[in-house]
Amino acid sequence: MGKCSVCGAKAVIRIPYARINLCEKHFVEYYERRIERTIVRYGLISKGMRIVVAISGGKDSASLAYVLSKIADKYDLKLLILHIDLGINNYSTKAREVVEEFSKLIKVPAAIISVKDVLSLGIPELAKLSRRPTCSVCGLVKRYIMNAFAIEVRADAVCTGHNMDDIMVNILKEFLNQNFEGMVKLVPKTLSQNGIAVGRIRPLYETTEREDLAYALINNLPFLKVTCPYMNIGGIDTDLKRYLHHLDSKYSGIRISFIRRFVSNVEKYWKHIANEGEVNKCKYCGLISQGDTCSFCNLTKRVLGEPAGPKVREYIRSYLRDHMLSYLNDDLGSD
Amino acid sequence: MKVKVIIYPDERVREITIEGKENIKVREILRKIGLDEFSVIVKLRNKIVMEDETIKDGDVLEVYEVMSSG
Repeated sequence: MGKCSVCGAKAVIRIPYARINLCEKHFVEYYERRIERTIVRYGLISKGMRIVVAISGGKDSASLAYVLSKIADKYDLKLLILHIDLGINNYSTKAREVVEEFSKLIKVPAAIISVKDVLSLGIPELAKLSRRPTCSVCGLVKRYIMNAFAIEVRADAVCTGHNMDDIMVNILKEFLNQNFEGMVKLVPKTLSQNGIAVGRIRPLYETTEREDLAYALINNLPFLKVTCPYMNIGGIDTDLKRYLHHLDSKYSGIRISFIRRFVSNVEKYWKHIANEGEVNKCKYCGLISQGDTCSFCNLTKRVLGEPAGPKVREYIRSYLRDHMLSYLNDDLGSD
Repeated sequence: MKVKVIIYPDERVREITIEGKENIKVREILRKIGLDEFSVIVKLRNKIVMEDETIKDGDVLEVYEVMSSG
């Protein structure tokens, strides 16, 4: 039976790239230390930051938010959970319940923005009308709402639960598409841009999906135990993840070494690609855009007859006034 | 020996019967259901266990698939 490499107690998990087995206690310590080291290594957080933590209801964002809530005092962080209700029937209802339970557990308020309440239709209907893949529309809407929300609460960063496996799959997908501009954005931290975009931070950049799951289970964190009905199990994402798992089980450490070299290469050789992209203000909503209209306003204008960016921003402002004003004034400051 | 396996997400239940063998390991059950130890986390008697844990008759194994659990 495997024994913990630190204390000799019964091990519950093997960390292949570190060539160690860990018991529950030492795994929890290892995982939390790893996230903090990632934060320090890539300079993701500075003292006093206002951070919007985007939570889907899944195990990755649950583990991330739990750790952040534990270190919030040390770094004087002001956390606010954002959950986007996608309007996917039972799946979204369950996700919402989980997030509400989780918010109470970690004592961080949760803003729940419902796509259906804002646009009068959920992601599946929007995807159908736009004749685009559901996951692509979902990603676009989520990215837009996350940024709009963070702008309205004057956050310093949006924190997402993308883990090492997610990032690697996306890097490989962008590489296969030869989309280098998309690839170089997959770094642990992107910067805010002058009132039109709030930077992203990814503290799970160096933790694996399996570690996130183990941490959530050991700590009994509430998370969704159902699959999104639109998840494409046989798609390229799952194929690439399986392949990466296979590679890592054969050549331990290959993933972590890839991801670290990727960040260092972006810094050394490819940074100019990220800076070459056109950055404008959307003429409708005033948020970041490549052309004169952002992708969200473009999509909603085409599908719903009018660009919905301004409506989303107004909805968020009104939501904040109705639900979070005292928290924002008391804890985030009213500057 | 009979073992109940609940696979997450979506709580799919499998009943596994193994004849004439004792000291069955978690790893063997995972193989029987077509999963490998690197792609799951397993809970037995409410604790996370590694693949070399021995299973008893009547045990309930909770298997969490890493890639599709949220």
